[in-house]
Amino acid sequence: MTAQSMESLVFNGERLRMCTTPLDIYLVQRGIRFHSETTANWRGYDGSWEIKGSEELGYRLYLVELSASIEYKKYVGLDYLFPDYPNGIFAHWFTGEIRCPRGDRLHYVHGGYASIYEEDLFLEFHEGVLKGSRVVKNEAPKPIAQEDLPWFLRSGGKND
Amino acid sequence: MIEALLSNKLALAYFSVGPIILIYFGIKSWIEYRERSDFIKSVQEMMGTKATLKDQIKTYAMYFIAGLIVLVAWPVFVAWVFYEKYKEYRDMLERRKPKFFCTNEYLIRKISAIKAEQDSLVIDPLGMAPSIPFGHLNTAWCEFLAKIEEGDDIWLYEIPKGSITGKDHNRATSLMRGYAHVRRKKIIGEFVRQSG
Repeated sequence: MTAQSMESLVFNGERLRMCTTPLDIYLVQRGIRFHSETTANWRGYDGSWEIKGSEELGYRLYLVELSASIEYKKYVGLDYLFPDYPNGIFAHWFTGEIRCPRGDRLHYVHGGYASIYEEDLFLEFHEGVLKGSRVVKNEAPKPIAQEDLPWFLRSGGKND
Repeated sequence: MIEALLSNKLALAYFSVGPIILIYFGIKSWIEYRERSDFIKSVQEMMGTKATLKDQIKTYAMYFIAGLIVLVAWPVFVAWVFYEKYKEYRDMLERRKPKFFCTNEYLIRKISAIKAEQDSLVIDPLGMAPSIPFGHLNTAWCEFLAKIEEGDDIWLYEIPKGSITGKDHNRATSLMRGYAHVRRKKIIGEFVRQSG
């Protein structure tokens, strides 16, 4: 599976990328599937998200833009799913963590969101309301030594 | 030996079934060959080289040996055909199973539709969600309710983060809460209220 394109998230004025797709569960509930035009985006849509709010009211997750393919080269926006809310919707169904990678990519993995970046910002939500955040620093994985590989995967070169 | 076989009715009966099985496999293979997709035909044509005499002899020898084996050991092939049919049926049933995240172990308690709606009113200070039960998911909730019949129950369920669950045995990446439509102790519908 090809590495998947990331959706965007604006938080505290910072534009982040997301390795989480909060709209998925809504689409599953409604039985909606979009048309995938590239192996880098199997879900067939791209969303722009924002965390809005204040200390008093709390910070919440909103989907503010959407570009989804309903058939080849035919795209729809947020109003296709939410005709009464074309300017954005509150993602009240989302409970869990959003992973936002930051910094340079240290290790590429050709699948999903498995690539490793310098750090990950995890944002914890409960029913669409931000509950906390944490940052995890990452390191590039060490290359596997030849002797740790099973014999049939070892390279045969004398210099290895 | 053949005379002795013919005089033994049981042996005669046994060996007369073999040709029938052989004809069955022959017709089945012929139909499969005739019904090849256009794609397979085009690939075969593209790759096809003229068979040498040696290849043809090998092919006919293989068919001859296979035929002999079927004639003698036909019960094995009959059992094999039944087993294949059973596997096809079992796989078809598995494919037709509805795909739910919830399984019986995550059911917490029965709940009425009214109570579920009271617990799920969505209020957004920025007005970006309808102030109704389940907010943007209200349509999905109504679709879920429409399938509830007399005698059915709604159960609240909760799947902890990290649980292996659902038809595909995936690990839940976050806490998942929702309502299950239960009929005669079996989950036949699901509404996910919150998940990641």
